[in-house]
Amino acid sequence: MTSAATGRKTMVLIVEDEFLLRMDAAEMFEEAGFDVLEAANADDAIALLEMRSDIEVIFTDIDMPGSMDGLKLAHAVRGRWPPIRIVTTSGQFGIGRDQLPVGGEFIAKPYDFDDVAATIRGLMGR
Amino acid sequence: MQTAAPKSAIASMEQELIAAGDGLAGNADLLRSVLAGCGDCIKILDLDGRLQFMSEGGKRVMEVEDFGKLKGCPWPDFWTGQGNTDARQAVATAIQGGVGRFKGPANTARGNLRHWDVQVAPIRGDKGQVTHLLSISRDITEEWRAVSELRDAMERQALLAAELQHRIKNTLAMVGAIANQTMRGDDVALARKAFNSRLTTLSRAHDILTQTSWTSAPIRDVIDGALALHPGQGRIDIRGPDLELAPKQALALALASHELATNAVKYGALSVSGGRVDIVWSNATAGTDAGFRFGWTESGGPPVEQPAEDKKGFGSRLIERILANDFAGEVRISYRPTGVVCELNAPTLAPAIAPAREAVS
Repeated sequence: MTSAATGRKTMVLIVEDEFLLRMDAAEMFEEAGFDVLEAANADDAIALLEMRSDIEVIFTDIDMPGSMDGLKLAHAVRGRWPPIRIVTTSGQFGIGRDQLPVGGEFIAKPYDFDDVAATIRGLMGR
Repeated sequence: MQTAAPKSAIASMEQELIAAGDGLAGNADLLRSVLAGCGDCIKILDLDGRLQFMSEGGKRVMEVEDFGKLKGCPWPDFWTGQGNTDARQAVATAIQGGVGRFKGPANTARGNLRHWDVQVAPIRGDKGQVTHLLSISRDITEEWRAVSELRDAMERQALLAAELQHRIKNTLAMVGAIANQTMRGDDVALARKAFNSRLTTLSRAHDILTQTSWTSAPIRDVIDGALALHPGQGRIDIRGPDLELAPKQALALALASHELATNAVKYGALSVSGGRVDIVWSNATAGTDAGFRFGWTESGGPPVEQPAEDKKGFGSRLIERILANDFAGEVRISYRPTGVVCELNAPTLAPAIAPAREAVS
């Protein structure tokens, strides 16, 4: 997917501690025409966000070990980088919209990648 | 508002005592016997809430040796925190003619914590006026303990159910990722076979982890489980010290070993008779440069060639990347004339203590 403004591919940051899921998601995003960055935890994700200015979407798992889980990460991103679109995912039952930052989306695991891509396209169109 | 027991009620009790048997009605000792025999702590307070009397049975359950030291003390002060508030409220309610009730913890005179079910009621004089208060405390420690144990068990159960649900969803997501990665070629029959054997590998690793409630898995069991699907096991030599792997590392090593064995059987040392595989690992003391080393070395097979980067299948990418990721180390796969060699160099694995396993008969 390309950004209308810049003509570049949309850059997605995938945050997922389970390697296999991260690798699979990265390949699916690439095949769908996105540029991809990967992080295995929230701290690495924050470090990437601080280093780069081209990240437009963050797709993060909620259940991650470390100082910050995906929900805290999502709120931190909304606070520090408001333009970034946020999509969260988890195998946990009942993550409510009220737990997500404003404008954030949630997709249950296991997910169909087409739903993830469609959700992100929807967010990019807003 | 209640009044004193009417004369008719007292007469009716006399009648019932007479009917109950000889020696009860008019026996001045009856009240003392009832109070001594009752297992509740029965107290009489004055209208300021001060202790004036405690039954014999009450001194027993409250572990009071010398009531003289307690007589005249404000009864609510035997309670702390919420119990103190509740006790004052119960006294106020009884003075107003009602019955105050509450439950709470308090120490006995010897300092043993017990849980009590308390009620405070008015005692009335001839003209119906409240003259004293009757406070009855029942020891409900055993019930309280049973209820709180049940509550704890239910909370644990709910936590376990949530954890299990989370783990199942995560596993299903992993299965989905393996399916995505496997179902890429045109040959459905081949893809199905590859998919099923990957699932079986994952399932065996789960079996091993389940034995320890997902705390760790012995490295040898993990490797044995991953190789069990493949032919030619008599030609695989496995050597290394006993080590416990973290769950993620166990899954990674199982999947990687499975992929290595699949390749060896298809194209490598296990594709011809006389070929061999040596699996060797070592784990250095923490803080040294050596760290954790794992090696898969094939020999005696047909010559192998390094596949082009864009021709590498999911298996090769999985081996390289999942081990590097989950062991935080470096992986090198070399296609030597003698056969494939896969080496993992990672930081020393912390000495996990093997949890006690239930003996299986």
